[in-house]
Amino acid sequence: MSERRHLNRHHRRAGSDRMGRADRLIYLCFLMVVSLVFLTYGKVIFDIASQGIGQINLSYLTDAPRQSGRAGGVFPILVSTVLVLAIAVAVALPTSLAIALYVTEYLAQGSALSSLFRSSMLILASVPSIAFGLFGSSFFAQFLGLGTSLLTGGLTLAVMIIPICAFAFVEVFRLLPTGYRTGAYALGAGKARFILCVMIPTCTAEIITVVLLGTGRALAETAALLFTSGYSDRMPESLLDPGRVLSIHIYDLAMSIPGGDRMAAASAVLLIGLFLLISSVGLYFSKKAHP
Amino acid sequence: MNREFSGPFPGAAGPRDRSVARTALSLEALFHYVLAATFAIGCAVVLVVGFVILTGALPVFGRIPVLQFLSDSDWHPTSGLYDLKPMLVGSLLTSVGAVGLATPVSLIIAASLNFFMSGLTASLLRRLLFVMAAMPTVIFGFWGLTQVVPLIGKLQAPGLSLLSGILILALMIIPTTTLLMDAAFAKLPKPLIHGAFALGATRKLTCFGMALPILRRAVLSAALLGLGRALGETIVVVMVTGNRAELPLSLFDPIRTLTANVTLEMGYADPLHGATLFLSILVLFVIATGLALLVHALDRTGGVSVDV
Amino acid sequence: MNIISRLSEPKPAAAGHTAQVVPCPAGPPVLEARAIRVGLAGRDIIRDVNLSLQPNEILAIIGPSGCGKSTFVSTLNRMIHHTLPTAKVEGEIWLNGGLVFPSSASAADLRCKVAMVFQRPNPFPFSIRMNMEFALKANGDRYRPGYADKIEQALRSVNLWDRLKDRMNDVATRLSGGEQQRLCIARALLSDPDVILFDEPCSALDPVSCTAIETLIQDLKQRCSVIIVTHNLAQARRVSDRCAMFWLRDGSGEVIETGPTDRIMTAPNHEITRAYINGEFC
Repeated sequence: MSERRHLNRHHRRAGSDRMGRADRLIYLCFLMVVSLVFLTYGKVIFDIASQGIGQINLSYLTDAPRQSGRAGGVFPILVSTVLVLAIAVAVALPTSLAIALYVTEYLAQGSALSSLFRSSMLILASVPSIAFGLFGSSFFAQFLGLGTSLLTGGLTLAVMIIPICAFAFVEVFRLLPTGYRTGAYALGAGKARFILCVMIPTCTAEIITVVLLGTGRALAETAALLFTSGYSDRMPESLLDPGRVLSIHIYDLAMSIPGGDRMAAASAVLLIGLFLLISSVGLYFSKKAHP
Repeated sequence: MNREFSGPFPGAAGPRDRSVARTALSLEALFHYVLAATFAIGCAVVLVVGFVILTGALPVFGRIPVLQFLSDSDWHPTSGLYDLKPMLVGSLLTSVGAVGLATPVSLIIAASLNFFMSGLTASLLRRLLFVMAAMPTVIFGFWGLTQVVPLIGKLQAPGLSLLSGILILALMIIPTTTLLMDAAFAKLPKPLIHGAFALGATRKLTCFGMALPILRRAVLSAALLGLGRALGETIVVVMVTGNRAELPLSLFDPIRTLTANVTLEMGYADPLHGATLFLSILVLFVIATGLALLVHALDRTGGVSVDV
Repeated sequence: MNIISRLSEPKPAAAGHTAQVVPCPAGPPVLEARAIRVGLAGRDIIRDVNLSLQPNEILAIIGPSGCGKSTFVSTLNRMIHHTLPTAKVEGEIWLNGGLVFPSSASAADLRCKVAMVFQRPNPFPFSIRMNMEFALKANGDRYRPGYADKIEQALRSVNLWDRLKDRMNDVATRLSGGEQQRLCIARALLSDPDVILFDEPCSALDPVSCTAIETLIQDLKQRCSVIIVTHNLAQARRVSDRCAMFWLRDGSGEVIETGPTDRIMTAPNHEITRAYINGEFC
């Protein structure tokens, strides 16, 4: 009986490929680095949450900022944030979807045009966001005369996230089984019909995931909005009014408002919360897409 | 019933059918044209962005000789002194320092995820990395300003320094570079890994003697992408590096990067001054493009196919 | 139909008979597997497998696809923890009189003594020299000046040295399939193993390369023992000294008969073996 138990313990221990001594030693060193990095990320979130979560209540969410943000709430800022994001997504979604569809369904893989797409999207995806800020302020704001406004900010963000979304869409569509394609064409469907009736419905979850990815990127952006959607913390009355988004609010409070740290932390908690919400919804849909 | 209806119009079924066919065809054609037009616009955007920034920088040419940006004694645009050296050096030092710190750390994390950890732990950590990779950078900047800068300030004032810039930027790019390296490791064919273990290799040797030599291009391209992100980052460096336009003498000296320079001065710049700012962004744009194309080339010529 | 009904209900007499046909030929075995069971997701892939391997012997494992031959072989050097990470292995494996499974010793040391060659050649996509050096490093060999000699010896014993001596810096994956497989054998020989496991080493190769590998395996008999998994009965007949027949019974692989190759191929005791040898299951 006891011998049997002894053997069983052996079975359990030998159940996976055990590491030798050299491996265990190096893994220990690696684990120290890994835990240092992840504990730092934990501390980032913890520090901000412990500083900011106390300020958040209903009136913080529904009031306008007072004394340049040292007191009051963030309601107009939330409104501006949502509007800028909505404009960006409304423009970027159809555009990037169309680009990706054209690349996957109408262009031959490896053709000159499709490599033109790859390189131009690669370049756009790697351009510093401040360059988009300068582009937006001189093209949308000055050249097109939209001024420093929510519309300018949204359009600038759209240009920024189009390559990200288009790349992601291309990847999604390439993974579609070729059987769907041949099946639909064999039934006499044209490309448009196939795209509208087969591709988009079967890829809905993936499309939502990609859109949320783009929205997360847009929400995270600060530099591109400094010169395009402006600093004004008043309630925007139209899309052509300037408005301050959440990330700029944090930046402004932390950098130029003495004593603004507490309120900056509160806004940071809101921003992290919004960001985590978008990411977890995205994760939900990506899990739904790849069960 | 039907026949009665179509009675007054002999042969109506024919043209009606054809008209259906024609609308279907024109829907197809319309769809094609719309997509093609959008595609063309999308590809043109990169040119437009480049063109707009180039036009913004144009007033500089003919007014200020390019070498003056490196030879002037000081950055003081209102007095006609345009010394961009400190900003160039600041940008390079922070980003190269951050990548230098982030690359080994990312490699260690990616190696642990793939060769040492259990699948469950690894997938949990990957998920955390995904979230941190897209975290708004202003969060890192704010945390650095309120937590790291005072800490460095205790060592040596003022705390806003090259060092804090490097640390926070590294923290910001580690998730991205780690995930890129992790994806490369994950694409390594299983038979190779089994082959290495079957020869009696330890995990350490399998990882660093087999996987790393095969994937060195992918690791390099991950590091270069990290470099691109670090060079282009604005808000973090504005918040934690002190923004003093002078060459740093030590890690504890404040510095100013090209991106920070634009952020701080664009608001009140006169046309010529503004053009110099556009020029500095044009330089970054060109560097970023070069890096992107280099990464593209590296990924395409990788030994084991590790396409992104 | 007739045969299948016979298979599902084996005669107890026949089963008892086969159990006696596991005689240990003279001398202590190099490798011995006792009562090996591999469970995966609530199902036994193989069950109650007992096999032993004599010094300088070539044992062929034959049987149809999916009856757990490869799984069994991969338990012998614990590679199963990598190929089927969720599988649960029970039983005992003895190497040269020492218990190697279950054991708390590192699997890496075991794999230097019980080497493995896979179905598809898997040289690493870097130079031939680095492939060989990797194996030496894996073996814990730190004496770099000795590397060149050991590599030359190993490549000579697989008849590749003359062909490759001037191309040592070429990428190994550019070699032909047969050359790649021989390189993999040479790589496995560097640790001077007691046993080499071949998991269908020829099934991805052309007939000429296949003959070369078979000759090589017979040469290897001089220095170690060999277990070869094969679908190819002609190959088992040409190469092996002894055969073990695997068969799927109630969804689990079992050894139904072992014996000298000549006898198995001409006068098998078990009815299923006879039917399999005569190709009645095609």
